[in-house]
Amino acid sequence: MGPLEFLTEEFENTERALHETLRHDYGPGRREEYYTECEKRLQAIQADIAALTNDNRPGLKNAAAELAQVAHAIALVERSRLGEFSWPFADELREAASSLLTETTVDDEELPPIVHVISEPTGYKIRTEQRLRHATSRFVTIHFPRQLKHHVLLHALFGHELGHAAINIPEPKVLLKAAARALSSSGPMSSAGAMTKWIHDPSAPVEVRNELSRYKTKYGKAFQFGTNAYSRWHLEFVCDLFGLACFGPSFLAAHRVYLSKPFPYLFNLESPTHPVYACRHRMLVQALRLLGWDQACTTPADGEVHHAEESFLDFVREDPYDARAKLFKDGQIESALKAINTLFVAHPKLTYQPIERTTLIALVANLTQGVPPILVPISEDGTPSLNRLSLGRILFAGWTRWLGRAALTSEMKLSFFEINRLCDQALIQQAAINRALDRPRN
Amino acid sequence: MALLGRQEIIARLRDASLVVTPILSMEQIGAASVDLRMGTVFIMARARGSSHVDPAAYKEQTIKGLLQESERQRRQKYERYEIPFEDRFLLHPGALVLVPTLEWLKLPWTLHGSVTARSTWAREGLSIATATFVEPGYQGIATLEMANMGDIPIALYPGMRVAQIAFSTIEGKAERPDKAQFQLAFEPEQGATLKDDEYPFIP
Repeated sequence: MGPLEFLTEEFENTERALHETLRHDYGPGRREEYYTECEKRLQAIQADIAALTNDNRPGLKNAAAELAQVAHAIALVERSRLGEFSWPFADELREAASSLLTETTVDDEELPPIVHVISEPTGYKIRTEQRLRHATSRFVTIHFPRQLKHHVLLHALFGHELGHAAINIPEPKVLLKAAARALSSSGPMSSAGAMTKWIHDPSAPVEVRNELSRYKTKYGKAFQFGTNAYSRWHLEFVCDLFGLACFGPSFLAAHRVYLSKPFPYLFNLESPTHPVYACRHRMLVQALRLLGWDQACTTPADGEVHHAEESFLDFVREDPYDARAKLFKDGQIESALKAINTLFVAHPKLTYQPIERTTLIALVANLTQGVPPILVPISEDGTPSLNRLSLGRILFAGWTRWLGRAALTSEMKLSFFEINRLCDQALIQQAAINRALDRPRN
Repeated sequence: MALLGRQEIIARLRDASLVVTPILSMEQIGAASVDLRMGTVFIMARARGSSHVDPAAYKEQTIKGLLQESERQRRQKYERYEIPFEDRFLLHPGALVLVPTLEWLKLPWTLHGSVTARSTWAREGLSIATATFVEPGYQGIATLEMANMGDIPIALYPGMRVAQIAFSTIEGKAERPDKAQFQLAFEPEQGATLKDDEYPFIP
């Protein structure tokens, strides 16, 4: 079997696999577009293959790579099972991603991505396709961690991943790069050299010095940051700010619960892709203060709920790290946030809106009674008053209930899992409420 | 023991001594009941799951400590589907499906609830297989045990009002010392077909 014959065989197998996916549930939304996009790409690849000969190795290689990309997209259909992730949360993310990641052609035609959702054993990810030679729409895949199916409070971390996804889209990329430039305008993160000087500071914690020493012994030279690590760290910092701008204090709470480390200054010297946790946390605490989101919406007169909210905010305001963790001046962070907020002007639904006092009191009261945090009061004649609650508000109430549990009097002792499930249930119910609001009977 | 009328139901919903939420329309509250909508999880028997239900086998596995096997068989018996809004689930004649309500219920110790099919759907052959009794103190979704008793399949869409719950007051104290607090129920669970105190009656 020659290379061309093998490629043809591979093509036919991929085509068969695509047809087999019709047996599967694609998940809600744009399922037809997903199938049609794969079909179109296969047709284009088929045309490429028809023009190839066994001698054309680069052409064969390219076609094989294109085919592998379609095969990967097809395999993802079989890995998407609605029962393995929170689909109401996924729906919210899909809407956010579709808005943020829509591209505009030279003819001003809008090209929204096709967003697919799967669950995996690994952490939170949103993947956008890079190579688009035969594509008419970009596939975006949201990866939920399987083991955290109902942990919607932690899902606020998707705010960070949305930032990563946006960096691949031309329009958001410009603004996110501006945010990165603001962070690199001065200080220890201004260049790879400055970063290297910062990490080798003699006052660094002993575990960092030990790690640097281990590296030197192993490789025979002192550790240095390269330009790749320099860019990656800035991207991570920008995506953290992006996540904060999307989900507010709930993002910082999830960030701290999920990412804090026993050695907050350590990082992987062999693959320095992510900044040290202590610095990420310090930057987020600074940003939270600059945005004014570190202040409670309730007042002392609100009693227990106020104490619960303060406990939540104490958790996200707390900054246990020393001066070394401060990499950015307030002005740098303000400029970076300004660039991110410019991006949100076109996507207002993405940005976090602080919760109102009365809403928080009502939602926390629900959670304290073991009831999902939604708001549907009814009048004396039984008419319900439907409220459109944003995801951010539900998450804020959930974190207040959990981190403020010591302040709240309740007969029910709810676990973190149960509070997450109540919030997840609230998202399903809120989706129904929104539907009732959006589609009045006709 | 008295059935709550519309005005009393509304009063209790308003002061949160009874919770049925969300109420999406005024019509959902009837003269002496509240309509319940279908939620988004569907659990039904798997064709290749198990040959029959036998409490004796459950007892034997439990006594022999074969808990994993017992749990495996219990889980294998059912297929679980999540159906988002606007997607449908076809319930074929003779089939039984467990569906949670969209509404979250919280009953005080002084009330109990009875869930039945709405007559509109009952006339189409859709039966809430048992008149589910919701115990005082219960918190969570209610499980609708829905069977198609008609001759043709019925398309079910999450959010449809298919059932109703009526509330009655309880005479005397209802709290149980062995069940101080109900666990929150988030979705239908396949119940154990046999309780410990039934063992003496099973070979």
